[in-house]
Parts: sequence; C-alpha cells; structure tokens
Amino acid sequence: MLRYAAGRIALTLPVLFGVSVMSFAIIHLIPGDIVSVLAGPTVGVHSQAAQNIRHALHLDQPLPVQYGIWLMGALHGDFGNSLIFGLPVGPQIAQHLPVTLVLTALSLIFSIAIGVPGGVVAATTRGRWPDLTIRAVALLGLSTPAFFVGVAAVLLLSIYLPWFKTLGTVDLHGDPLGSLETLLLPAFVLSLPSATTVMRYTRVAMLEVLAEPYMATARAKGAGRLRVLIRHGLRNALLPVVTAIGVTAAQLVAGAVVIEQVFGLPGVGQLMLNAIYHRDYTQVQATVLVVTTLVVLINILVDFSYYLLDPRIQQHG
Amino acid sequence: MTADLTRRQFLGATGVGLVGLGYPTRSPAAAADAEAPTPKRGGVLTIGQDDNPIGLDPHKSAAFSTDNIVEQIYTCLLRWDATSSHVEPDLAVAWENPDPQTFVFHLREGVMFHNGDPLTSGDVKFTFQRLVDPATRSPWVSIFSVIRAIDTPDARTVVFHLATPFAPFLNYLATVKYAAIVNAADVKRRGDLVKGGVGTGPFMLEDFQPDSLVKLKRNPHYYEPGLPYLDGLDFRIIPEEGSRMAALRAGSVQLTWLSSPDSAAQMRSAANIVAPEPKAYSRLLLLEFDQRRPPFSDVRVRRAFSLALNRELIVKVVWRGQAGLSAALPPAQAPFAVPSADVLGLPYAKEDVAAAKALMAEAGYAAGIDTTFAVSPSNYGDVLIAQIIQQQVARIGIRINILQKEWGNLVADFQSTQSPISMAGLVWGPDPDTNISIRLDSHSTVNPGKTTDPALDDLLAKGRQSYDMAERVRIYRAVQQRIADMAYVITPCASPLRWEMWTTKLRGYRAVPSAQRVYLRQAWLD
Repeated sequence: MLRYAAGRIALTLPVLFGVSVMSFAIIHLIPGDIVSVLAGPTVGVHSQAAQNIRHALHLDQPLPVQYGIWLMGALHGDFGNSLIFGLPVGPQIAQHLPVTLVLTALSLIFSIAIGVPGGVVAATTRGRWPDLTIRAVALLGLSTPAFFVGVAAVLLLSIYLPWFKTLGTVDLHGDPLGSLETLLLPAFVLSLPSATTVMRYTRVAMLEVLAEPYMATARAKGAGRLRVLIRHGLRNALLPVVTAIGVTAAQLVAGAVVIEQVFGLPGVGQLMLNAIYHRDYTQVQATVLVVTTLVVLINILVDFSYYLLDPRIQQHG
Repeated sequence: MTADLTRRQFLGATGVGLVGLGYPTRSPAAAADAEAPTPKRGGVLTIGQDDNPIGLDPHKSAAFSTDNIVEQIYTCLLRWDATSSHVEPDLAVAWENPDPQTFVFHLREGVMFHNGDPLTSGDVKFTFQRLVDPATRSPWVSIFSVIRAIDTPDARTVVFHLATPFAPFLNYLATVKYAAIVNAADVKRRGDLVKGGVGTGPFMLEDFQPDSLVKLKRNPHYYEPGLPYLDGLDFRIIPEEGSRMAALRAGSVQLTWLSSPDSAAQMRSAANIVAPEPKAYSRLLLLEFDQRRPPFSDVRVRRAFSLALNRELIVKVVWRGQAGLSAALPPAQAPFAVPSADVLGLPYAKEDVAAAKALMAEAGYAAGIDTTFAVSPSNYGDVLIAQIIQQQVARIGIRINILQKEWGNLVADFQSTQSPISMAGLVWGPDPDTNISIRLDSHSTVNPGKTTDPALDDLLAKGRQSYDMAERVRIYRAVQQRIADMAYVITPCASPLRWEMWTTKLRGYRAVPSAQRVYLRQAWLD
C-alpha cells in the first residue's frame, strides 16, 4: 500500500514539470506582450522605452533561457512577482484559491446529490417515463453552455425572485455564511454538466448490478427493496461512479473559470484569466501550476478511494 | 478666486446639471428652486465595476479601470466642471500665468492627506518630479517633461517654469489620471502606490485585494465642507455586462455602467433605476490605415475609402442614433471639434460612390484590392461596424477580410502591420492635443499608421503653444480639415463613452462626458 502511495505521489513531479514547460511555451507564443499594458497608450510597442521594459523583464532573451531563469527561481521556492502589480504571486493565489475550492466543493456535492439519486431512479425505472425524463433533462444540462445558464439564471432570478441575493460579495473570512449563500447559485450552475455525467455513470453501473443474481437472492431472503437497492446495489455500483466523480472534479475546476467570470467571483479562475489577458507571465505560470497540482491531487485521492472501497484491491495489494 | 460653494449654488447647480443631462422629470424635487432635496449622511454605495484595476498607483497606469478608483482617492490642483470642458479650482484656489512659460498656483489652506499630513507645496513639487522620473515609468513622461523647473517659495505657493509655452498644461493638471497629487513622505515610505496610498480625495482606501475587491471609506477631513455624504464606496468587479445589469436590477449594486445602447434601453424600463440618455459623445471611433505600404500609402485610395462610407448608417444601426458624426475630435470636445452638423461638409466625408470608384481607377486599382481589417470583439460595436464598412467599400472594389483578434494581440499586430486596417475607440482626452498627437504626430512613438506629415506636425506644435482660445480653435479646425483631406484616419462617428445608470435611491449624482465618477463626492443615498 505504501509503495503504491509513494509511486503515485512521485509521478506528480514529472507531470508538474511537463505542465510548466507547456504553459510557459503557450503563454509566450501568444502574440502581444505585457509591454503594451505596462508602457501605456503613449508609448509605441516597438519604441525604445518599450524595449527597455522588455530588457528589464528578460523578455528579449530566447525562450529556453527565460524558462531556465524561471526554473532556477522556482526550485528555490521563488515564483517571482506579478509583472502587473509587482506583488509576489504566492499570496495572490492564496487569497483567491479558497473561493474556487469552496465553489468546486459545493459543485461536487451538488453533482453527487443530483447525479447519484437521478442515476438510481433512472436505472430502477428503466424504459419508463421517469427514466426517459431524467435522461432528456440530463442531455439538456450537458449541452447548454455554462455561461448561458449562468447569465439566464442571474437575470431571471433578479426579476422574479428579487430577494434572492445573486451576485453578492464573497468574503470567506469576514462573512462565511453570506459567502456560502452567494456561492450556492454559481455552484449549482457549475454542477449541471457534471451532474449529468455522474448520473449516466450511476445509471449504467446500477443497471449492471441490478442484473446480478445476488440482488434477487437478497430479495428472496426477505430484505426490503430499499435495503437491497442501497446496501447491495449501490455500494457495488459505486466504483465506476467514483471514477466519474474524480474525472468531473477536474472538469469542475476548469469550468469554474467561466462561472467565476459570469458571477464576478474572485477566484483562481478569474485571476488566471486576467493574468493571461494582460500577459502577466509569472502570474500565469504560478497559477497554472497550482491548478495542475489541485487536479493531480484529486486524481490521487480518487485512486486511493478505490483501495478503500474495493476489498478486492486490498487483497491483491 | 474662491472655490467654496454655498449650499444654494450647489443645489442650484445640481438642478441645472441634471436637467441639462435630460434627467427624466420623475424627480421634480431636483429642479433649481427653493424646494431642493436635503442631502442625507450615511450609507455605502456598491458600484458594479467592469474591470479589475491594474494597481492603484495614479502615476503608473493609464488604465480606465485604475482611473475609476483613484479618482475618488486623489485630487489635483484643478478639476473639471460638469460639462468636462472648463477647469475649476480644486487644491489650488487661484493661479496666475505671468508669462507664457510660467504658472503660479496658490494652494488651499488647511488641506490634509488621509493620514493627517498637511498638503504643502513640497508635495506638489514631488508629484511632478515623480511623474518625469524614469524609475516611475509613468505613461505621461513626455507630457510633463515640458516642466523645466518647479519653485516652492513658500508652503502655499508653487511656481512652474516650462521649457516652452504649453497650452494643454491646465487641462492635464485638472485630470486625476495624469496629475494626482501624492504625499511625498508616504510615497518614500511605501516605495510605490500600487497597493494604495494616501491622497486628498473625498474617499480613502479601506481595503484593496487585487482582482477581488476595492473598498473606500469616507474621508472625514475632506476640504469641501459637509462632503462627502456617503460613508463609503464598494467596488464589485463584475466583468460580464449581463451580470452587471442583473445586479443593478436586483440591488446588489447601486451604480454601474454599460457599453451598449441596447443593454441601456432594457434597463430604462425598470422603475427603480435611473438611466439617462447620454448626450455627450466623447468616445471617438478611429479607423486607421497603415500608410507605409500600398495600397494605403496612396492618398487616393484612402480618400476613396472615405467616400465609400455612409457614416449616418453606422450611427443609426450600431448606436441606435445615440452617436454623432465626427471629425478627428469628438463632438464633446467643443469648441475645438467640428460640430456634427458640419462634418459632412469636410473633404471626402459625404458618401459618393461614383467619385470613389473614379479615385480607385485613377490610383490604378480599378480591379479592386484585397485587404485585412483587424477588430477586437471585446468592444461593443467594433465587429458590427467592421461588417458594415466591409459591405460599403465592397461597392468600390475593396474586398475586406475581417479578423477578430484579442486586444493585446491587435495592438501588437497593427503596430507591425499584420493588418493594414485597424480600428480603435479613443476615450475622452483632457485636451484636443491629447489623442491626435499620440495617433498622428510623426514624433509620437505610437503613431500606429505611421503618418508623416510636416504640415500636420507643424499645426499640432502651434496648437500646443498657443494660449489664445480663438486661435487654438482655428488651429484645431485646420487640423481636422487636414486629416479629413488626407484621410490618414477615418472617423465615422463618436459615441457615448459609457451608459451610466444608478438606483433611484442615489441622489445628487451626475454623469459627466469624461465618464469620471467624481460627482460621487456630492451624492447621497436616500
């Protein structure tokens, strides 16, 4: 078990390294650079003043050299300062991360709370109208873009339910309950595509399990229908569902960027978007790495959860 | 020249200002008569902001988003009136101009910075030294390098010695974006003001979390008696326009602005929202050509392009009539700007497809031209305008391929000629010289189209040095005539900079053509 854990964690480092190279390359290959932001509207981007700024930020060096400079700093724990604000990138991320984490966690809870029961109901009523309705709604939830649902939700609620505070402030330290209330709607909107994925995995897994002989045996022995369903059915169907949850958790982190933009939430998604838009290279690099680490961690947790959930893996090691 | 407003003057001016802006008559109490509303103290105003500020240092950033916030924290020697066309006293209560190269300012008594430090002439001197210091990397170095020396004979007097006469000087001194007065000791202590600083404005910084929120609170020592009425300003950053509209409707924010006339029209039907129709057209639309290479190096092709356009159609379709025909200065820059009614009298401004075709043939392009037009989809209307123009010039054989590019990309590309045609929307400039010299003077390092016209340069230089208003008006009219004649750039129209709207609970506020929200200093919440 320990060897398995150590192996999985050790694999993280090459992944992070690879991601750092890729994101560095991509952000620097995008045309336009930060100089137009820093120099302002009165300075031409090819003028001497602009070149001076580029030189001070090492932007006139070849890309591998620039990457090397960054890597040297990173290995010493110094990820540099935001090129726009001059503030260290770490504290900036630390301030924005909790919002995204809470948003993603809430979304995950919603996805499971909607997806799993939905999948179970769809499986047990297979072919009948509940199943068909759930699948139709799921298709709708999957196909409708998040920004459309988000903006529509905000507009409709503001007209028909004006007391519901859409777009409130998010201050997790000062006002945790109010912030949670503000995050409920965005989390719900974010969860819709993932909920459908979870629902479909659950449905398929449940259908397989329901066809197993031991389900009939349990009923024959006199166990109640619900008990059979949950204790014997769902528990065994959970493994593929956990995979689905693991995959969607990573998708939620990505989807959070759009949701944060629509709802004006000060999370890591917005931080990264602004940094990319302004070509704030150091901020982008650091933020991408943090988000990557998050996704990798989630996947490791998913792997470990198999170990806990499936006794067969424990036996074989 | 004293600047203390009596209450009667203030309330009277508010009434005139509101009426002048076409303020709907559902608030008769705001009219200039004895039954003026009583301002109430208290309340925090939540403002829906469309973009994150790029730091809060007033000397380092030209970003509109930074300006919106620092204009509440800092004030300047002078300030703009409600029409954004005349300067009034602010930190300086009086000034003299003994000779064309000298300005003497007399500072107001008893002004304190937010930390209690008194304002002295030393702070003013430090401000302008900081602005030209290469270490500051201020965008305005080229403007303020005209100052040769600054004397401070006493704590209340500042004397500026200019290297040459500089007519725009007072206009820049009145604009927070350019000349916010900072506290010398505070700047030296902090190093820079990116995270905030102390100023002399009606509000002071309470909390700033980059990319997240900005909270300002009332300055109890503000030098205008009784002001501000509000306890604080809360800037909520909501990039999506639809979300901002919803937030205003629901009351999550109480003041915001939109950038499209259609969104603004939707808000007008809401009973609890004031959404005045902007009457000032201060955002100039500028179509620029790269003049270094054919075909746009040929003036005949540019003139033909200009003749092929139907400007009124753009005003009607894109701006729903809420825009004005314009020459190289937007109508809001009166009296220098050619009035909208006279724009079609300028050379090559009136649509004439036959004449355009003749010019194209004369230039040797009877077979037509294939070219590219880069626009940014993030500005309302730009893509639509490009499509209209594409259709219109197709009639004379110019076949345009529209490229939608992200803004940072667009700027870099155009200044290196990846796309021969580009478009920009210019924000309000304090002086007629501001935008024109950046875009069209051959000495400007920006000059995206690479215009080289000694006659134009000469006119612009004269315009900068003449203090005679009538002569300046003559010069800038000649500039606009020249630009229209040579078609270096085409200016189809000018639109409002923003459609500002606010809750009916906010009183005493007025929107100004420069889109500065400085009148929040005299606004209150009912």
